[in-house]
Amino acid sequence: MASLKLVNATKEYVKGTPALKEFNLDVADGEFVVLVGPSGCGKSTALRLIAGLEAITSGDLYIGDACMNDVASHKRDIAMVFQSYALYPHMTVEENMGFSLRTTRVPKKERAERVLAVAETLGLADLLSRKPRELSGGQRQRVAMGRAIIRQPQVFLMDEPLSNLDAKLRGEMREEISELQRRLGTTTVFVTHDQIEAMTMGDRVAVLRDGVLQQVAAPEVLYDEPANLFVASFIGSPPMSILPGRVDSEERTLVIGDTPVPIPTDVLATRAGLAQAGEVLVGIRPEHATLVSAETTGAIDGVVRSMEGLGPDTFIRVDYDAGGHRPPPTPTGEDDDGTDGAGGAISPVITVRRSGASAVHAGQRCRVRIDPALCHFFDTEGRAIR
Amino acid sequence: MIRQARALLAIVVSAFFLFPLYLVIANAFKTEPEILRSPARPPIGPTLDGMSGVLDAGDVGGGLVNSLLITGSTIALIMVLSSMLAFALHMSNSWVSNTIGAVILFGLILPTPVILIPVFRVLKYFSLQNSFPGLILFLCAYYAPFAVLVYRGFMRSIPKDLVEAASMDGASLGFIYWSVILPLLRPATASVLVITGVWVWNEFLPPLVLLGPLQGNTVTVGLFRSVGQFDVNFGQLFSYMLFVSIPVLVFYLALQRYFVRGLTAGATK
Repeated sequence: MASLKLVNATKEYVKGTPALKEFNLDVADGEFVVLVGPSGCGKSTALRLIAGLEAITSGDLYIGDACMNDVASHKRDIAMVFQSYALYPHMTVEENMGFSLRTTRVPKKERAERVLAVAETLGLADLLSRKPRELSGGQRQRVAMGRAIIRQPQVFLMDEPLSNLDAKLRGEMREEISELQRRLGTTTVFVTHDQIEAMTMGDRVAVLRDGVLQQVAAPEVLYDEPANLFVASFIGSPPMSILPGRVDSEERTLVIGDTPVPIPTDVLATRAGLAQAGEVLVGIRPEHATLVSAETTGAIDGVVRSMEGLGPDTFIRVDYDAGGHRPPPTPTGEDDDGTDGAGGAISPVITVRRSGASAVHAGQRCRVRIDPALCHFFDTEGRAIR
Repeated sequence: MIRQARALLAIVVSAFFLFPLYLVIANAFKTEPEILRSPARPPIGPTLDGMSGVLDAGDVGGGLVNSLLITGSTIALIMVLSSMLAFALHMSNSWVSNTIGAVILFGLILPTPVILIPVFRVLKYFSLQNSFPGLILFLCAYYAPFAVLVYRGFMRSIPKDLVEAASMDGASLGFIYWSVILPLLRPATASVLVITGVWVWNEFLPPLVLLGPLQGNTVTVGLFRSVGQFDVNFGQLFSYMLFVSIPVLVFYLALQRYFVRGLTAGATK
């Protein structure tokens, strides 16, 4: 096992347009780090740099203490699980899993023993003579895992290995991979665009956008203390609602639209930046917004637009009054992923979570109460105000 | 209605292509006067005179062996060299490899008669004129562009992930080619073997010119020479044709399953 370190790693496929910009990541020995971000954010590029499938344009990569920039991929002692699994279609499960041992000239007998041992761990012992086309998606995924494990590498790299599975199997495999990684204690870098995978599997999660690392932290830190608007909007499902607002430090109120919401003194005291903030973007997690009756004061006026019942919870989308700042409503309300900068991240609705079924109906007038102590504040550039 | 029209069209087209084959088979078992009287009639009271005539002349066996040797060596070399070249071009996507790829394609448009004399001179320079290796080398070079084209097209359907996975597993490029790529190219290989095999088997001018009369005949040159030798004995001529067509037919039927897959692969994902 070994630690892994990327120092100012940059990759340019086309000169002048980096796919990955000065990327810094420190993965401790035995740690499980997830790289997450939307398509084209550079997460797969980062993984391919570590794998040695792409050359680093500038910066350094260390595995353990050794600089790996110019070391061929097969000499880095890493194993990778590909999104497509990359199983050799003409070989049996046994041959697939034993391929790396064949290239390193491990004797046939030892090869067979090691393949069997790994196959038993992964529940593949009965399938050793089958070809990949005779396996289900989950079984293929396991074979790909087995092929990586059998080498006993220093580092595992996984490139969206669960994206081809159905939702149920994905859940099972998430658990299985996490458990296996804990048991083996191998340093792992896992790439995904699925934030649920990121939040449930990683010891730490690195969020990327446009080739730039936004934040790397434990999942709960990412959720509770996002470094910027992008991380705040990307992590969490349904996403955080982002409303335009203004902090009036003299009146100690947060004004959203025409509604003044009082800010408790201790909130202003603990968040030093807030008093000087002026125009802000306010982030509210669905669980921190409450639907209250139309008579309640200090709450934001709105009209219920739609409801999404998930059984234990119902998510209610409320069209709100944001004065002149409110963007035109979109049919799906999915334009709030922060990709257009801070301004483009403003939500057309406030999402409210309610336990169980909800009696409200679309078109109903209501008010949404928010607690400034639980809100996230961002400046107009999208940086978190602490 | 459309279905019936389609079936009729299929029958007409098939008949068009099968009629010459029928002529060869039917006339191989007829006597000379019968052939001259009505060439298209089926053999009534078939005779093996033509067959035994050809075998007695003792030429067809040598021709078959020569043709098998030349065709076998040529297509084996084409298979290995073209697939290796296509793999190298596929893996490196630089302007150099693209240029090489384009230059190789030029080879497809060169007619044999145009280049035979220069080729003969080149072979003579290396003392390979009038020899089997000389002829085989020329045929390899001549048909390799087609094979490279087929292999390159097929390789696009092989995910690059496989090569990357194998290289991370510690396999050298040669090992990847041999144990991962070549087995996956099987349908393309079948197409290449069948098509170039038939072309090389039917090749007439290069063996006539490059091999010369002293090294023995191939089947096509033998057929050409038998016309004068047997004073145009049509019975023997058709028997000869039947003899030399059998290996091609057997070869094609053996690889037919892969052949069709090789031609259609890559058309859809």
